[in-house]
Amino acid sequence: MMDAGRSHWAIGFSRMRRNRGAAAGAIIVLLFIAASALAPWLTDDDPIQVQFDQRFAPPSVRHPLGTDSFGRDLFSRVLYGGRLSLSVGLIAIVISDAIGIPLGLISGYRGGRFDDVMMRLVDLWLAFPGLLVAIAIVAVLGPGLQNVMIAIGIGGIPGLVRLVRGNVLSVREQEFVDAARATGGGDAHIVRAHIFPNVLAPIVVLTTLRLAGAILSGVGLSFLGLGAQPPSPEWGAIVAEGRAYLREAWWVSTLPGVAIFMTVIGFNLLGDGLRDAFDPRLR
Amino acid sequence: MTRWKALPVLLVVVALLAMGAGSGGAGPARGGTLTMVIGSDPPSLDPHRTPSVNIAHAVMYETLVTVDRRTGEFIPGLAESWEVSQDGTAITFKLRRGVKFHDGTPFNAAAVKTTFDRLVSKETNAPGASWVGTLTRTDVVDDLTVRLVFSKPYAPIFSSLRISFLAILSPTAIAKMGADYGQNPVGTGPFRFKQWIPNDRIVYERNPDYAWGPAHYKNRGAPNFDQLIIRIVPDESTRVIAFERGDIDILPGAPARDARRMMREGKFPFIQIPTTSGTYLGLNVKKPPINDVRVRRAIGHAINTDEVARIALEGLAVPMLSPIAPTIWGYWDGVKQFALNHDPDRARALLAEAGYRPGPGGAMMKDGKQVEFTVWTYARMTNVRVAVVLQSQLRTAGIKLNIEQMEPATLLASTQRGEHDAILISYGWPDADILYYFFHSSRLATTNRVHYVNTQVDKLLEDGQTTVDTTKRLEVYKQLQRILLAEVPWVPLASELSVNFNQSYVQDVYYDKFGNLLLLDAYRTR
Repeated sequence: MMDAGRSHWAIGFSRMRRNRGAAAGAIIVLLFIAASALAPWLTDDDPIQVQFDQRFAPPSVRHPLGTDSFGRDLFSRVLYGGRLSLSVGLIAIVISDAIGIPLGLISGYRGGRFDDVMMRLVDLWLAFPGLLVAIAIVAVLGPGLQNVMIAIGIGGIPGLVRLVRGNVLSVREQEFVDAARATGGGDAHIVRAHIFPNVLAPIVVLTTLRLAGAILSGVGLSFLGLGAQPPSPEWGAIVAEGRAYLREAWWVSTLPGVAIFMTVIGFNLLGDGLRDAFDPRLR
Repeated sequence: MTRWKALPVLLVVVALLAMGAGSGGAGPARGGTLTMVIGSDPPSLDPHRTPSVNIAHAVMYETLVTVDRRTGEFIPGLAESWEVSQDGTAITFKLRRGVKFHDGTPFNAAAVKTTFDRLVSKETNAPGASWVGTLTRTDVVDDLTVRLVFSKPYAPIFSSLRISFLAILSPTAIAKMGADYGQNPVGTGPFRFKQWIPNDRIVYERNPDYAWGPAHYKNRGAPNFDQLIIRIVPDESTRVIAFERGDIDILPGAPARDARRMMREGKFPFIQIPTTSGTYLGLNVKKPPINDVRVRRAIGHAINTDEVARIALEGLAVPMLSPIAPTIWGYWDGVKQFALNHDPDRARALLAEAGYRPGPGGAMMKDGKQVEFTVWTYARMTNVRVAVVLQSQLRTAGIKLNIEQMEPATLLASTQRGEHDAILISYGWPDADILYYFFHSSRLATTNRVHYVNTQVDKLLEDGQTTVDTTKRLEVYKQLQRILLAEVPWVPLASELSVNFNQSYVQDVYYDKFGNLLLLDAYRTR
């Protein structure tokens, strides 16, 4: 079984390497993560320092992405903002994974009444658009990046529960699970050692794809004023601040917009590549 | 950048010169149609059946009292003169002779009585009825003399009397039309109603009999235009495009981003008009650390209202020195000497007095904590911009400001309960009586969002409501403005300007201090 697992991952990764889109996606993602992480070494400008005599400077050597309506350097804001926007996505996904995966495992493995109740709840939840649920949650918790992470994280749970549970259902019926049970393995051991490793691949794929969505939701909520609060350089907030000046200073909204676009496309390409590599139906 | 800033000023000068040159000739041309634009249909053209009034009412209705467009003082409208009784509970108006309604009915004391009786009657249930305050009855003294009687003195009445809610209606038309008055509205104004196509336009025609224009006009007779059309265009951008294309002659209140661009391009004459709105930072006087008046004063001195107006509001505002915006009745020019001028050193000195010491990075600290507070505001572009500018200014004085954007409903409910440190919002009102709602102790759980209690202020606010004599009343508000600037429950920030554009072939368009369009002198050169 362990051999089979290893070869499954190995096959997947070798397919990945042949997929140009996935490679491009991985490079873009790594580039943005590196740029955000290394922000203090890439720019000397303070992302929140206003300079009223430097307002609306177009992109130049001094200000590679120009300045905004308060004279703040946009290059610095986009770099530091990347830290916020990327971590919102990441942490939101961690939250939904931490809750959604165990629920899906239990629901699929136990079945019965618990599964019925769980699935009806999930149906109910999925009836509402994700962003709407997130807005409602932020409205209750109050604005702020932390609450946005929680809201998007919670919003991502039902889809994940459903996916994990579906995969568990098919794995549960396989002979090696019966074998494990016959040799005296307890439920917790079987789920942890035999079922979980076999449903991990689709989880990884979905998580990568959902990262793009989570980042976009976070940016969207900040754009609406529900997420990052001023003077935070979160990408959505920068786009929102700049949109009133599109006709006179196109760079304020456009360049952070490009950053959002690139990141999301990077994660999507990577996720697509992972799916192509690991989807059992394509094997 | 510097070029941009100088340009609008230059343009105003050029525009004014052009206007002057035009009117210096053979006199205004007669005839033609004037087209202007507003954003939505008035709920009704019957002033007693609408929660809001605007230009659509103002061009066809007239009030007893009006406002001089230069001085802002109350001047005769349909009333020639008035007298306030000794105890302030009655005002007697002498009415103008020879005024006729659009339907031919003569204007007299009976018309005023019929109108005000209808306005306050339970049956009418007029949304605008509260504007007359404590009015109990209207008495006809003789044909051209009428007396308003109040249960107790109601000083803001003059600010109300100039608003179209209190316009005088034709008694004949009221009897004939009843509740349908709004479909066939009849007034005494320079234009008479012709047609209303909802969501499209309201059409008026020249009132040829008009001969009683207020004294601040050169032309006190009938207007120069044969026809006036008010187009209704809900979308902001569409309004601007229609104006730039030449389909519309006057564009009042251009949206900020288009206003800035059009001022820079300089293709159209424009006028920046003050509004009766004010944006302020309200400080919850119960919440530490801003419960200390020295900290509140420090905040006031750390703030540069000039930058707020110029940078945050893009120059489409003027700094506000008093809690009362300069256009509001009751504003006192002498307030300048008591204003919280921008002085970061003074701010730091005040904080030092309150026990704060400079810490790392210039932060003012006490017991290891920086002086810090959070401001709540709506997720509205201009408010957020103001907050960001305040944040950077306060940082210079060692004060940390956090910003939180909220839903209006949440903000209003939570501030009533006093959960906030500070709020950044705007208000709009024509009379200084508005201070009663913001600072009187009886308004604590509702509109007194700074939770301010001061018995002296309470007394003055009550006096402001009952002192009908305008000179004495102004004294009351002078005192109030001084106290409020010393105690700093509010830091006044800025009062927004409205930018009104017109086509260059339209001349002599005036606006009063409240932004109302005055059309009697206006004419077209082609």
